[in-house]
Amino acid sequence: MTTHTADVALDPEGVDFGAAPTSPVARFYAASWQLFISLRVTVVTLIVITAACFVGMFFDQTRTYDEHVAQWATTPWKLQLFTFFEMYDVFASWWFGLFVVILLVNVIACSVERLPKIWLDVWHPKPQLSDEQLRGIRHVWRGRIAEGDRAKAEGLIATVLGARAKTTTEGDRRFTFAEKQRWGRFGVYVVHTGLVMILVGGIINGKTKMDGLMMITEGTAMRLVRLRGPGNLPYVVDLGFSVRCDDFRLKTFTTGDVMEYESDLSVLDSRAPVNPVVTKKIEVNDPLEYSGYTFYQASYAPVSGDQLVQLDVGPRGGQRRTHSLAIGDKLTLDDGTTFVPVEVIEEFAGLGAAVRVQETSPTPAGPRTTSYVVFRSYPDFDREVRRGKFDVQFRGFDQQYATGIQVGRVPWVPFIFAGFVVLFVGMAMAFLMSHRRYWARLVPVGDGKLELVIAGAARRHQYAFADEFARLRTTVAAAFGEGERKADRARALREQRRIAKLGDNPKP
Amino acid sequence: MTSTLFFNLCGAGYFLGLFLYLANLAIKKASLRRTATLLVAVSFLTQIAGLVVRWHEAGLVELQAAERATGLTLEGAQRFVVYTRHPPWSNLYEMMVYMAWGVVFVFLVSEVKFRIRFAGIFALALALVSLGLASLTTDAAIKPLVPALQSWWIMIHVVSSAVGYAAGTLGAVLSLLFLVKAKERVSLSSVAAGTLVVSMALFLLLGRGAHLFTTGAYRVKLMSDMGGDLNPAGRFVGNNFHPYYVPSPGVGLVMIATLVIAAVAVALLLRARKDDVPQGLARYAYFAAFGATTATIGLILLNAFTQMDVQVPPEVAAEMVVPGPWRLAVESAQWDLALFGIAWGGQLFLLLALLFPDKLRSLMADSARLDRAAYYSILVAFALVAVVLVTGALWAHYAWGRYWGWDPKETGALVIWITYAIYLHARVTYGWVGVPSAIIGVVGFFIIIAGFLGVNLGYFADGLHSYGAG
Repeated sequence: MTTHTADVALDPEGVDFGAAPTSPVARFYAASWQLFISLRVTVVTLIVITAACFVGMFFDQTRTYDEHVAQWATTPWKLQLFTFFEMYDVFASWWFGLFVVILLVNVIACSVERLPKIWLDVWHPKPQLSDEQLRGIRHVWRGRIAEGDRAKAEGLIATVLGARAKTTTEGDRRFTFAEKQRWGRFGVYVVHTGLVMILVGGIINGKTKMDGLMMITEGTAMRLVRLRGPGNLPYVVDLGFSVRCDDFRLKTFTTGDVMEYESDLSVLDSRAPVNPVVTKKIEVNDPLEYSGYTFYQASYAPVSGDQLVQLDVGPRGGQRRTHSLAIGDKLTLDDGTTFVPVEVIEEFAGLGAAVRVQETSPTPAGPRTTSYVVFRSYPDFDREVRRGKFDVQFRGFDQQYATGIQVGRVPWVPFIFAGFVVLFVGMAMAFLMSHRRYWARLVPVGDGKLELVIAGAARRHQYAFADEFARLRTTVAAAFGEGERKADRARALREQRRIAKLGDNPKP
Repeated sequence: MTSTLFFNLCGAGYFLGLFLYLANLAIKKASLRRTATLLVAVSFLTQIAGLVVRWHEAGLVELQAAERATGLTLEGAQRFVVYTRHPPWSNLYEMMVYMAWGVVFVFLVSEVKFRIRFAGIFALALALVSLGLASLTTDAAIKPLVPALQSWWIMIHVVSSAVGYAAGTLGAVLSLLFLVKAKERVSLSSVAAGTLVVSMALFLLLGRGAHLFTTGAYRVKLMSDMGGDLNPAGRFVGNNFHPYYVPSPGVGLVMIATLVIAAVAVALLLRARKDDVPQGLARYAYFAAFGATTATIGLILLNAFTQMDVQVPPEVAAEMVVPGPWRLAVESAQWDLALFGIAWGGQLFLLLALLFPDKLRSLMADSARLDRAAYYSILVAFALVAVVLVTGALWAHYAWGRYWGWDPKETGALVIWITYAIYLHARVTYGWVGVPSAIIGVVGFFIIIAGFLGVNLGYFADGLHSYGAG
């Protein structure tokens, strides 16, 4: 612990450990407590966690145990070391978990140890400046003034200490006390609270979360999620409901690079009265949520198999819709007309790729079947040349895809995000606020003289406070002169000591 | 592209600014320093203009690509979203330019607040290294943004990472200055030994550790020279490009010699750590280590310009995706060279400190001010890295479905944050003010390098942040 001269006087009485514990058990507890509140443990733990992070960065954590063993564990002792320290899955290993828990206990223990003292000091300050306290305060104006100037001095105190200053009198001794931004003292504890929330949420999530993958082929439904277990080995879990991919769309730039991709998903739940329960278009930054699970668009993969033909069909001159059909698949419109792509013709009489379509329409005289060809390169051919009841356009071939859905269930995420907020609030309090205190004392010293003392101390931003107090001192000096030289000499001494200790060193 | 012109102009401005700050050491005129700062500020504004222009250029690329892909003409709000969604920090080239921006930004703020002589020299040198690396990167062209980056989180996430890491870098520079200045706390012998230890660690890391000793070779990427158009040679394994590495002739042996000389120098310097300025053997050992480091870098550069025709075994040549002739170039080891260059710069500074200790120290701000400036830099870095971590977590949660996945780059940022947490706790609560905290501050810089560039350097698995590789 630093013993900052300015701070010693500000702190209330030191911790009273009481008599040394006598029984071995009590001694053990006392020793453990001392260990857990020591910053040495914090620093060592943080260094171990840092080392673990480097190990985790070095050994690719996305590979399986077997892959790692093949690459790194070339001798038996290496294998033993590798397996013992679970280097294939460092961040879920026993030792990493152990140190995270130690960190957690340490943070809580340190706060429990230190917070009551700070609490007392912040909420129950001593408004009467004592000589003992004064010895430890760096910024002081001290001087003697004539008894007749009492009113002027009181006015000055009110000016420099502000309207919110509290004044107490003991006989003819007058004490004034003011403070600013005392909440800043709790900033560190708020930061630690946020950190504990994040760690606790993270540990619970680590045990209960699910982070799996589903590859759903267009048009099919799936209820099993593939997960990575210990050692990155795969296993599957049943969701209890199905997710169907109604459509997958991939948009590419002309260069062939992927621009964006999206899937239409439906949730089919046998427990629900109406199916599909939910239908949603998901894309990379816009997931679907159902029953505590979140389904993210993560990837896609082409599915090998029959080629699909894309036909745009619509009433003559009207809006056409795109349908993907395998050869021999039947498309039925609302009025009963059916379309079946019969064959793909790679090259039709020098006009390029074409599809033969068989159209069957219901007429009063019974179904009438026609067969015709539509061209990929001539989208308006059917409308302008065949002039049928429906326009059919051969749009192209459709590669069938399986959409890659990341399935996540991280129940404690809101708690962790709340932890982030707490963390930032705490950091703002700790770094931007500085608890500042000001004292004034007016005491008769005989000979018709009064001694006026004005002192100030800050917890943070010592240099900014030095400037602030210098301005305050100028105001006082304008009224009562430069004050006592003795105080100046003491201040110079303290300044020297401070430079030797490298001052700007606030305590939490 | 117009933006490149702006970046070249600002690079020239930084170079001149660096020169003026150096001149300011000899000619101690306030006007010279003001001129230098003004020049750097103007170059900084030029760089901002370049970034804005590049944002515009990228916006046009995005619009064109989106309109071609969808066949629609975008209008109104939709057009604005597509036009602005590609900020100029989305690939490695842009990141290196942007890091230079961050370093100069942080330096200018510190110049206003603390006025530390030497900080400008280090900051501008590092900014120029970053710009130099950017100019050597192969993919300077603007390509449409990949889906995962099409998010507003990229703005705040990347901005805070650039400024945060830059603040950490400045903190490291100021910590190094403190260590040299604080004569009453730490001797120059110890600081020189520390510098050599860090250099040795870099040599071992970049020499692939034990491989350097077992094979005696330092390997660099082979480049294919197609009429002046340089590309890394290699082969595809599945979808992954594996560059082909060849030993840079003679460099391995010079590196081993450098490591041995440096180890001896460290031992001698530590024995003489009671003397502020080492005399006799220890002094000459340091000079020798510096000379050996210089020789290593010189030889790598020499090979880059002389090894114009490297032969590879026919079975390797058959698999290579780019045709010969194959050669070595600066691009073969640009990241290694940058890191060696930084280590060399540190060694040079220590060399000057050993040669002219009193002169150099008299030019520096007093140690309390250096310490305070370093403390505030690292405080800012700590806060901003927290922003990076949290925005990254939120973004990852909404984009990938997990807020934290121990991806190497995430882990790297966490390590940097933990390092600064150690710094702050050591300082504030332990009272490790001065030398111990300054050491952590300097180490922080190398952790930034490891975390930020580790993926690109190929030491760590490339996880989900691999867009920037190249």
